[in-house]
Amino acid sequence: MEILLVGVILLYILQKNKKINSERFIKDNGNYFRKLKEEDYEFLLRSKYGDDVDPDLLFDKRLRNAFIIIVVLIFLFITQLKFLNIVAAFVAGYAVFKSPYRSLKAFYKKNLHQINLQLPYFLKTLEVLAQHYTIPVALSKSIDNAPTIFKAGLTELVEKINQGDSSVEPYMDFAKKYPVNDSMRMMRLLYRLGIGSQDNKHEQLIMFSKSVSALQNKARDTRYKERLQTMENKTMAMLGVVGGGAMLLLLLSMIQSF
Amino acid sequence: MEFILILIIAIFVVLYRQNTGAVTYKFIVDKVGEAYEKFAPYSFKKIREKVKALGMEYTPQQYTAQILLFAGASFVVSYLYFYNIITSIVYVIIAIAVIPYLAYLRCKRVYSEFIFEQIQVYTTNTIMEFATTDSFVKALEGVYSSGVLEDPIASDVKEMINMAYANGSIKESIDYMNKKYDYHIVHNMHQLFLQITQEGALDTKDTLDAMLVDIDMLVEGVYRDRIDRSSFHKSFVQYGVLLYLMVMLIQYLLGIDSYLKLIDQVVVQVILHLIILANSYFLLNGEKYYNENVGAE
Repeated sequence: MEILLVGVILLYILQKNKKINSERFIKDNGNYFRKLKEEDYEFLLRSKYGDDVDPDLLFDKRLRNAFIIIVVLIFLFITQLKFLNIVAAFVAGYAVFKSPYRSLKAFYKKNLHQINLQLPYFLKTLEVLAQHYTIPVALSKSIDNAPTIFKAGLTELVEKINQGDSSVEPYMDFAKKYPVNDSMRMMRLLYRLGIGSQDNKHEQLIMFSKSVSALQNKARDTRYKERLQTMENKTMAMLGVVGGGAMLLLLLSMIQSF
Repeated sequence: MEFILILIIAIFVVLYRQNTGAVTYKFIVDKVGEAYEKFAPYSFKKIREKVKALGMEYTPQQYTAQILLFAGASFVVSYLYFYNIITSIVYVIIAIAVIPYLAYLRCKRVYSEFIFEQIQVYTTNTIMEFATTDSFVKALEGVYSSGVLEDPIASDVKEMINMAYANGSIKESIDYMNKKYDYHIVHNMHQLFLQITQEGALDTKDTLDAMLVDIDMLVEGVYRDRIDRSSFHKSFVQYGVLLYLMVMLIQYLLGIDSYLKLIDQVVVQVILHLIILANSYFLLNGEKYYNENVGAE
């Protein structure tokens, strides 16, 4: 243990004084390690941190942390180095390597769910604005009060429309950016509402309103079900913990009686 | 140990015999009231006042019954776990200390439900008034004078009307109300009326009708959800309380003598405390979740 501590301190000093560079090994062999990178890693990173993020830098950090864990564990087991211990060190390293990816995936899933729940409410606001304004104007007016999650997509959409793109593409790009239930259908509906003549705009708006209301109801039902599910989970957790404690007591009493 | 218990009962009996029953309760209520005035946050005091005015707050007798129930139940449960009066008294104190928190959660829920109720009355009536007056401020005046709203919404609507006349525009009034009541239906309705006032009235009858249908659907959803959650909450609490009695099952399985031997060990005592605390934590956490999330939007 003392040797390990001295080693860690020594490595830290050498690293700080730039005598050695622990990341050089990863950088030199970057091409090989990149093969470990998950296909959707960059997409997930950008959806969480935006376009300014450097995926390579963050991937190198993941590799470095995994290596550190493997090396530290091997050093810990050095006096009783067995095949099983080496495998355990690599498994721990792999878990550390994968954990940022898993948290990114969890974030994206949660994010998508948020989008799914918030989209109908945002569309309702848009529908109200569309009563008096054209769709491009309504879209740009909605940006300020839109849920934060949609602001980037909306700004992009409005910019594309203002640059003269009158096709359905900007609307589809928005739907792709927020790929939740019905987003494609609703954006197509919104596009058609934008290009339709003012004569039948009123009828189209009523139709749009009915679709949005149905979506809102669906989102509401989902939210209510989730809340009941949360309460159910709390009940199960309570049973698990208290039941587990009782089992432990029984186990202790059995040990005592032997 | 038994001596301490008898002493506590004796003190209560002497106090009770020296005063009349009502005076003893008054003394307790006054002391609790003083502590409440000292520590309760201002916003909660306002909420509790309203809940009292609505007749939804417990009476001193109900609170006394709750205290006795909590004290009795916690004493019985903890004694079943530890067979130790001192420990049971500590748990009784902890259980009683939780009551103000439960009252806080309950008042917040009642208040949130009341506000949502008022908001749906406000939006529905304003839209209906607008259909006859064709003016947002006139519609607000109609709703205010009809007396269907209660404070704090009624006084806020009055404030909106005053602001509209003072500013010559409804923008500030709408911003004021939107900020105070952050509900989708309020924002959407205000946005529509702002547009109608600023951009001129189009054929808005169908739109306003659709908005009324939306409000009806929301109200139906919230009420249905309230019933579902309430029945689930009831089962949750019953279940949680029954789990406290799991220790009885262990005693049946082991026999009382073996159980008493078992609880002599420090590890077992720690596990038993952890079981009680974990069970109580989950119950409180569930209670908080139930009361804090009333589903209005």
